[in-house]
Amino acid sequence: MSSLLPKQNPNLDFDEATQKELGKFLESENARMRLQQSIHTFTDLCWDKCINKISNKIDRGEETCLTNCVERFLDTSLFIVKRLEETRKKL
Amino acid sequence: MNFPSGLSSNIPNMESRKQAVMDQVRNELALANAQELINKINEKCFSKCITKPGNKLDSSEQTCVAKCMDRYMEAWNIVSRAYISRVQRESQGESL
Repeated sequence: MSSLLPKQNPNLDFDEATQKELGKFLESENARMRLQQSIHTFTDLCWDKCINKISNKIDRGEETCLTNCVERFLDTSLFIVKRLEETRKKL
Repeated sequence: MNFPSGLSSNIPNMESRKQAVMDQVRNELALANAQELINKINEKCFSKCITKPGNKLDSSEQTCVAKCMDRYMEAWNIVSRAYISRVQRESQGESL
């Protein structure tokens, strides 16, 4: 984290407390960015699965489909990890 | 907050520089997020609305793209809500 705030640049010369605060800030922004990136990925994927015709509003069925799509994608991800773990244990 | 008086003259300056760094990071991330959304919308709505590219973007295609944009952002929000509530549910489950 401190590599982002090079000491040799006097404009970025922060005291320790501020460096810590900025480190925390960057961590949380990073987490927020990863969350948003996941949402982009899911929207991309689930749009193709759930939205057939462009209407004036997303209808109930499409909304349910989108929600299920996210849930099942995450379930699939967990399932794969679990299954790989089980396979590994059997070896 | 209380600072040793010797340092206090330096504090406002550092405070404002800190704010500047934070603002810049926030702006850049917001821009990257918007760009990603625009790219996705462009890709998705082009494939939905411009099935046979003609010699211009005609008005029915424009209407379709306009609607598609709104729908994509709506879908983004629905997905966002679903994902965030799942993450919250799962983190609560872990703490039990």
